[in-house]
Amino acid sequence: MLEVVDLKKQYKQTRAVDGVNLFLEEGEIVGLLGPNGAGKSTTISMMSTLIKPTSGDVRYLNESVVKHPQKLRENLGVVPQEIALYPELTAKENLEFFGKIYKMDKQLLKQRMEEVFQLIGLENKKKELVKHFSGGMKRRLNIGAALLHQPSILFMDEPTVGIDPQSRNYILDTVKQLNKEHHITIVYTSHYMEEVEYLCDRIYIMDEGKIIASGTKQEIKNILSSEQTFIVEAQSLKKEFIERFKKDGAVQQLSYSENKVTIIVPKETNYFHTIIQTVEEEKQELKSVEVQKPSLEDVFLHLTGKALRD
Amino acid sequence: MIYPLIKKQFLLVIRNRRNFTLLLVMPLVLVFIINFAVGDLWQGEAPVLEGKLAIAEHGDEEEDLERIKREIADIPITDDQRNLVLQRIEQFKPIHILKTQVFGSDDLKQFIQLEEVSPEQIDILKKSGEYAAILEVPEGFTYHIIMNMFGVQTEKPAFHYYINEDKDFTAGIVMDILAAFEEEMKVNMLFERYDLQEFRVSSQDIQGSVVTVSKTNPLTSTMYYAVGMSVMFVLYIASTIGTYAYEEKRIHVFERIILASSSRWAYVASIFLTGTLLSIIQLFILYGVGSVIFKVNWPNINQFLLITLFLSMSVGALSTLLTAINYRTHSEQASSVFSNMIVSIIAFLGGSFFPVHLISSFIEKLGNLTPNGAAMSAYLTSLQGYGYGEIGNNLLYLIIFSFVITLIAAFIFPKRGEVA
Repeated sequence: MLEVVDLKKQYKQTRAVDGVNLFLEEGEIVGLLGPNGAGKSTTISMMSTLIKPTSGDVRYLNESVVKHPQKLRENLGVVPQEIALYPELTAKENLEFFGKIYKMDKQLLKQRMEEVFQLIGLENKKKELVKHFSGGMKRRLNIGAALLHQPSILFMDEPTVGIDPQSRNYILDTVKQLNKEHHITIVYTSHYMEEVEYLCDRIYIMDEGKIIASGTKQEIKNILSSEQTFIVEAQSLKKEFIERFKKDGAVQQLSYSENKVTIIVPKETNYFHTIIQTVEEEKQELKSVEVQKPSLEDVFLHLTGKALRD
Repeated sequence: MIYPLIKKQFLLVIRNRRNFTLLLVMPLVLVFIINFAVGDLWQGEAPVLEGKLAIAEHGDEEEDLERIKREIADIPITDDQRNLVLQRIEQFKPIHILKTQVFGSDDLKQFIQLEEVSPEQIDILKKSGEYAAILEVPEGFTYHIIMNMFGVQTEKPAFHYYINEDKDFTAGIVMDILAAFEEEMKVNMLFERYDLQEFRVSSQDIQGSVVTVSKTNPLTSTMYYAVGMSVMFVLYIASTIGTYAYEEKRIHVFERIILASSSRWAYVASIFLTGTLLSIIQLFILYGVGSVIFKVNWPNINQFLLITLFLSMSVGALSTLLTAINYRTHSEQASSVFSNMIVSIIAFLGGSFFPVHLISSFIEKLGNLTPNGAAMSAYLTSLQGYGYGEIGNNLLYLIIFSFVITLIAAFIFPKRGEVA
């Protein structure tokens, strides 16, 4: 449906996007993850025809949108990270304005406004000035403005930044609903890993302008599947007990505190047995042993060396 | 396509109280204040020409004439010649003419009251300040005038004046009339001496009267400042729109507009039209209120509409230029500099604060190169009742200005791919 081929963007000395390749299939939700400055927003801007790439191409239904942006624009809705609304206008006036610039027929616009207000749960707030809205309500209207012209593709750039958990859940459910019921293809960028895990079928991880990993949630997690993590907890850890693991060549990483030690070993090792044996031999009192599965957060940290919210 | 953009811009401007105050209330308040402060000093308003002139004669004109007659009787000439001279002398009584035909004329006596006083009163009158001028006629004035006319060299006759500086306008008029009168006396003396009667100037020719120099309407300070403040404050529309447009970019609404396949040119055109229409509305409101409250009425409504349209187009053009610079520089600094500094400078040059031609003609010319200055000149000329010929250059300049500025704005406005 949409394909990004070796996309690059250079601003003077800075290469914001450096050879990004990705694709989008109809009806899926794709997550785009990356720390601040990774190049996500620039990539989204190029994909949505707002800025021209330095090189590379974005193809929609096998046609270059760099040369012919019209077709994609007609079918694209963009929810920017910022609240792209007029605070001095009412919710209705805002949607009316965005509908009119899409040259929507008066009757259709009226009908779509009703549908969108219902979808975003602001039916009773139509006539209120946007500047009097809460953060969550503004975010919902921000999404509504992108849906008015019934796009088949939706780019959502961190649409839940700075809002309360209740509004956030509402938006996440709305995104699911848009995808499942209205069959809208969605590209979703977020700082919140759990949002991406909850919503997305496939994920691209970006860092320093490049895609450093991509695949389904499971494929991404499998990047870390060659390792397994054990967390051993006790009332008080003996020095000798920790020394045994330090000296063990099978241990790849070890970190510990007064009552907890984290041990990373190759997946194929049956290390649970080794831990229990060491506990018995060193007469270490034991509280618990936890075997931890890798999360997307772990993968992200593993690939970029940065926490996602950095 | 452009209509929703314009409608939205109108709603944004109208809903902002600060804008409303700046664009509509402030200029009216300033016209009130300035008019109150400088109204009396305004040159365009005709000062009151009303005052009293005192005339103090040290001698007696009739006695002077009798004296001349006696001296002529002793001159060895024929009776016919003597009778002719006496006849001429009877017709020539300069002080009498001054009192009856000059200051006693119907035209002048409604403005200047002539009062005869005794010479002893002069010092008291000078101190009282009641009179605009005091004219002192020396003893033997008429005798010496006539003797000189007939070639007898005696004293040179001359009036003595005292001017009241507190009433300098009326005093100045009196002085001018007396100077003209004295000049006529001298000329007549020469004509009589060289027998050039046919060239003689009648005393009627120097009678004073107050007439309007041209047939145009005089300008009042209210008119001047109603125009001055309006052409100044209309410029704030440009900076307001420039700021709003930049805000649209900052909060990414502009991206929504572009994604809706609105062309950048449609956007620039909407900025131009919004600036123009808002300016027209602002000027209509200001001049409408000006007409009701300050009685500033336009003698030629078509001229007024034409100037308003062209000035508004200039503001529309400035709005596009400021928007383009704001977009190009990724800040609203252009609007800020324009509203905080440039408006004041060009308002000064254009004459919004006071008539700059009083300082120098160079500044006046410079002022006419600003859109507000050109419009102000055209408005004031129109208010005085002049025709299209007199405002043509200003109108032409405003059109050229609008065109050139819009062209520059279109050139500066970032194209796709240049917006970060």
